[in-house]
Amino acid sequence: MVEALVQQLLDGLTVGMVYALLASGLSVIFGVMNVINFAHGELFGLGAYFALAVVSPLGGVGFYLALLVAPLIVGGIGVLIERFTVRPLYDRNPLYHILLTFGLVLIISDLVILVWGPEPTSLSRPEFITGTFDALGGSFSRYAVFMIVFGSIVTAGVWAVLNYTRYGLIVRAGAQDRRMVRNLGIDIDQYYSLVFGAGAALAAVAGIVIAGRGQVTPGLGSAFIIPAFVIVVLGGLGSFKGAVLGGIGVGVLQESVIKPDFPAIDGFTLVPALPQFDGMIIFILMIGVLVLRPRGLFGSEFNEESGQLLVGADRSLLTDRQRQFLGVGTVGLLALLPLASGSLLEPSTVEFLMIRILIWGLFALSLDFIMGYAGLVSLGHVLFWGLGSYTAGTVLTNATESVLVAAAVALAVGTAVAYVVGYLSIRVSGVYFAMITLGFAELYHNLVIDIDGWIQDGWLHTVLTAVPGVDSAMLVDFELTGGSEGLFGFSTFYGVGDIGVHLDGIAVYLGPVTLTDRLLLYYIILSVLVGSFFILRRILNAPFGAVLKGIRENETRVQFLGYDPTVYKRRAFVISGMFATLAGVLSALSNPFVSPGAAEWLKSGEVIIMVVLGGLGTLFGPLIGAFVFFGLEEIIQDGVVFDSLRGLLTLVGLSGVADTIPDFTRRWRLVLGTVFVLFVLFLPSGLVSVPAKLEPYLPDRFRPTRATPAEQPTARGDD
Amino acid sequence: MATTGDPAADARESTAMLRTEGLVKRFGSFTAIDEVSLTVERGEFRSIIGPNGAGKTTLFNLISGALDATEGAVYFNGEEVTDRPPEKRIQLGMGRSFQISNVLDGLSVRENVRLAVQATRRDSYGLLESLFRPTDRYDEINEAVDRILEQVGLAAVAEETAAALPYGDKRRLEIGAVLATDPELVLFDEPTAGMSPEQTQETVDLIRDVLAEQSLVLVEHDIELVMELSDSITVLNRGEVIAEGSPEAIANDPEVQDAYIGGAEL
Repeated sequence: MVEALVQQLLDGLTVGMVYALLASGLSVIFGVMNVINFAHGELFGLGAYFALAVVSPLGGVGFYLALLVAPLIVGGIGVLIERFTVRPLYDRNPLYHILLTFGLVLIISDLVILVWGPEPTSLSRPEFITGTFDALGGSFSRYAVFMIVFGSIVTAGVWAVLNYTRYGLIVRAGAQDRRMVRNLGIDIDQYYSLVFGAGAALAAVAGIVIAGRGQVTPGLGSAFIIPAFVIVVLGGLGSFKGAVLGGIGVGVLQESVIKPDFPAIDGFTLVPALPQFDGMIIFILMIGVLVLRPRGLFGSEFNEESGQLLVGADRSLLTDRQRQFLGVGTVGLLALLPLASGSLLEPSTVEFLMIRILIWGLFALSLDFIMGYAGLVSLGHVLFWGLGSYTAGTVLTNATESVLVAAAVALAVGTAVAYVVGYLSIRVSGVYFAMITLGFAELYHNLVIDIDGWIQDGWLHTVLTAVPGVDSAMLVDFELTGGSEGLFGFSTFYGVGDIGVHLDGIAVYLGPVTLTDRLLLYYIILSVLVGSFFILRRILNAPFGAVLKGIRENETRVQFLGYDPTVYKRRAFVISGMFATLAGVLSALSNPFVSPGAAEWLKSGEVIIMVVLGGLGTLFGPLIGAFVFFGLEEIIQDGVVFDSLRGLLTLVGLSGVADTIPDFTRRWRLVLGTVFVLFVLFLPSGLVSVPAKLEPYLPDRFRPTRATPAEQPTARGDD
Repeated sequence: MATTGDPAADARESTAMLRTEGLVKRFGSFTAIDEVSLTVERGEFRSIIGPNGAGKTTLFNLISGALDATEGAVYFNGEEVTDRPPEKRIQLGMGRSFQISNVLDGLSVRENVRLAVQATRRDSYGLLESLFRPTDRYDEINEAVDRILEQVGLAAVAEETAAALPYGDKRRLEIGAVLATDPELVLFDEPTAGMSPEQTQETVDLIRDVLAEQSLVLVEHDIELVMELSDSITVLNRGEVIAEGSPEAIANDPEVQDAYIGGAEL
């Protein structure tokens, strides 16, 4: 029994050690330079791949060499990343680092696939740390013990450096007050590069160690980064102690405590239903801790340095009338598009691509309402998209085929959830807000996969059968979310009761033009989007919106005018949640199916990209962003860039070269990541700011006239 | 409220605009404000002076609610507000200006003032109106905005972005925004910091002009100015009140002179 218990704890500790190595680097990087490094997980993965490169030619013995060489290489990459991408952003809001490093994630993960391929590979280990050894009447994995011992030595080493060296002293002082350190005549920028590099090296060590246990796959980084972040937040951003203790704690909790047979005593489990919450436990923990202790367990009170979020149009080149004209023109053009479908345009362009763009445009619009106007950066906006899709799907599958009823139910659910999540999240600010919203989204993602199992034969089954009138047979086949497969095959009826239309198979003939059911759906979605745009614009021009814009400018000031910013932010969050839910509903209707992908956090990242691409804090920016995002994807995945590059080379007589270039241009995430990183670095106010940036270079006659103050648009992005 | 047994004193305390009782603020082991009790009467012009680091701004933060007091109580208009958040104190009629100019940079001058006026008229419209009725259709609010812009002399630049204003105008705008919250008591934290003598005079005239009716508490470094303006002066040193009285009495107080020489700054 003792042996079994030790075995289980060993599992927990090994994973815990990896978490500790990963999280401590993240946390120190945050503490010293306020950088949220989402690319940390990819550096972790890179560590494993460079180790692979060392080990494959040398065999198992190369493992020890890899433990030395790979972290050095990754550390070097870390230094380069800091120097060329992170450094230019220090004066800005820390949220730009999230955006930047998210772009880096896309780039690095695609590069890894390009170089090493998508298949998992195994990393061979030296003889000495392979197999098992006997002790305590049982046999234990040598490698597990190696991981724990090695991890402890590295962690203790880092701790000693931080606490007992001059270097560590300066790093710790910099974490407290970086300006003061600079005023003492210390070039703290040099230390930043080192800290970032050291953090990257620690991540690489963790990556190698975990790879030795299993396999090296391109998904390694993304599998560990979210838990690592949760740990950093749990322990308190910037706290080395918090990260190490949190890492080990979470590892033990995840891999030991909540396993079905822990502690290995026959017939006894701690809490019977706990193992069923497997994937959720850390998120529940994080949310709980943040609600009770908004700075994490070991976080001290610090002044979060918050530079401005850079919103889109500082000033507009166009007069109100011109804008109106442009807006009407765009909507008119969009309304005419279906007429060209099948003739000028490929059918799929409007029927699928444009539908997708419009729905995501609405989603981006909803995010911009809180991000661009209230300064709340949510990493969990996908929660509402998922809620909309799933609630609509569930209602359409189980209750009625009326789309209107499904949408109404979904909106009600979305609004209620937005209120609760907003209530719990908005008490924390900045980075913590981003993380707590991510936590809720991940909880929901797990929930949609698990809940059917719970109802069919899990703990909910036990609870529900206790209700009078419910018997077990009713629950066994019950389908709320369809588990990991999702819901499909629901039919959609656009109406209520007996009045309405089934779009399936309908076609409207207008002379040479045929409007298919997909094209009719396009019109429905377009009108929802236009309607939403006007409602949001109206809100922003009313007193409520005025206060939101004030909050974005300076929350303290608004509070000292007599407004409670929390109340306004919460309401804005609810409004934003409603429109995001609506986007989710439209997505379910247009597919028509719902899968757990509808609640994956990557979607939150993508929608943030769209908002920033287009321009924060303008209502049309996110729409432009969605259009460019999917337009770019379409072009790249079609291979247009690749083909034209090759064509060009062939044309100039270099067909030999043309044949050798790899098809990297089809790697959509690589290109997207690069574009995004460039945007964050050089055009953080988005595409909508381009005209204003170009203004000084325009010939005089193209410049707008600003003679009459009455016509001059108000100061900033209120449209 | 504590009674002193003296009915006259009780009556005075309950009509006082602002009263603090044994206010203490500690940061770790450092005591920034130590047992500060002061009473500001209705219509009084009170100045708070003291060497750098005496705790003047901290005291303002405690009174306005930007910081929570470790011990003690704050009464405003006879009502205890110690545990109220800043916005509640503002709603009750406290106004606060900041040491570092603190306007809403990205918004227009008009919008800065309008938001302040809007805050005081929230009872005049419902939730739906607040969500959907455009701000230019609230005539009463917009008339009040025009009046204030006129008063502080910013009507001509009303549509400019606040960020584009010269420094002196920014401070005017801040005074306008404070005025627009319709306060009974205004806390001014060094309103003339960084100004030339002419600008200082202008600002002082403006404050006297537009806030003649209100009780004022002023933190200020310019001793001459303080002597000229104040009804009474409180002197802080190391978080404690070391003297309080009329300008003349303070000027002649040996302990005050000591503190200033000790603090090496006047």
